[in-house]
Amino acid sequence: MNKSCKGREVDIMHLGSGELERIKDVGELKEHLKICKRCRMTLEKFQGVDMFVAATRSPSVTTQQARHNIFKKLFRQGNNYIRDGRYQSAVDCFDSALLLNPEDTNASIMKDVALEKSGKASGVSGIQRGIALPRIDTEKIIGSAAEKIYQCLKTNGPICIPELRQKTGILDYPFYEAIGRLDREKKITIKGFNNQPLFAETRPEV
Amino acid sequence: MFPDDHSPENLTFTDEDLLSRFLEGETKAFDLLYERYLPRLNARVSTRFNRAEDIEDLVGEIWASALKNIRKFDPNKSKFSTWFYTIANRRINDELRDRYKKPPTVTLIPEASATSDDIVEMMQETEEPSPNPVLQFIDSQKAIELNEIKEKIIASLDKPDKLLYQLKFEQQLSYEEIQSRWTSGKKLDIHALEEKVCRLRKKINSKIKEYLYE
Repeated sequence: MNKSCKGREVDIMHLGSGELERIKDVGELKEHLKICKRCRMTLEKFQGVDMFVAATRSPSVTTQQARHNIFKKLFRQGNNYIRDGRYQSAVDCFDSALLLNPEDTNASIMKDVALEKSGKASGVSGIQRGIALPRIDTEKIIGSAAEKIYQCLKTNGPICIPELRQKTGILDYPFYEAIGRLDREKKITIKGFNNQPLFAETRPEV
Repeated sequence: MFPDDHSPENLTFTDEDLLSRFLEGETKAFDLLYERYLPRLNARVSTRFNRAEDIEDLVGEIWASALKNIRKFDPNKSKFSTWFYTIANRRINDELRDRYKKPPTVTLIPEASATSDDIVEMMQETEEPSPNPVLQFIDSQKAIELNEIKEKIIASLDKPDKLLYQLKFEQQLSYEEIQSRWTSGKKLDIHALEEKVCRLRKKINSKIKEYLYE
């Protein structure tokens, strides 16, 4: 390392590990990295350590829990696609979710809803799997969830989303759809708070 | 049916075998595939994100994206790993872009010290997969072997370094938190602590290298 590299190692370490707030002048360091091969190599070495640590860090959840989390992500994504009117993508999501958890009736029902809305089938796949399909009135489901959420906010005041979900006991679908509807109807306010999950609160009555 | 998770029989299944079994309805095959790719994927994601929760969340997102398109995968056109890492790299880039678009939730680059140019530059860096030799080494190892190497590396560290590894890398505490929990020897100031972490990184890197070129 040449003289101008002295004392840069710690900054390079912070750069590599994303702790940029600890570096006095990020721009200057980046300029230096462009011209200094040795410092670039130091950065690569440090990133190598980060990769190794990440690859060997014990996961905080078991594989089964991870599978369940992926299932939930797919299920939520599927619901979002339905909301946006992208029914084929929704079917793909629910299909994959069902591969992870073939027993889940919610995913199965939602897949049928997506199929029905896309006009490709009418509850056929659910019947094929031997599931007795009730007639689904999505408007009614979302409406009653919205009512539940509104009442809960009125009683308890501002609550963060996980707590709200716990208190109301509403599933992913129709929870977010109901939140969206209440927001569109200007019955609630959704805002960020100190990097915490979204906050939802009733607006003061005028 | 599959034998126990880490039995030698399971290691002989190719990714494509596991995938086709998964598509036939064996969820256990997915678990094996997930475990097989977890260290490599964690390593890849850690090139752009450092918090363990961020990495874990993004790994889940990547799997969800891959599974959504799983029926489009054609084993005659490419290997599963190539297809999967293409999705992973794209998803990592998307996530960086999303964070760039939503300043209040950006934790990677605090506004005080980083400009939008820095973020764009970092995004451009992600377009090409990193050729870092450690990443290639991780790709070539099995999860159990990697863990054995880690255990050996940690065992070779002295007591204060072990404690520092635990606090900084495993528990991901901030320097301030480490300072308050530091029980080995005299109290350290933040600057000394940063230097210590820097030296520890160098030490770990040289030990990884021993295995890398073995």
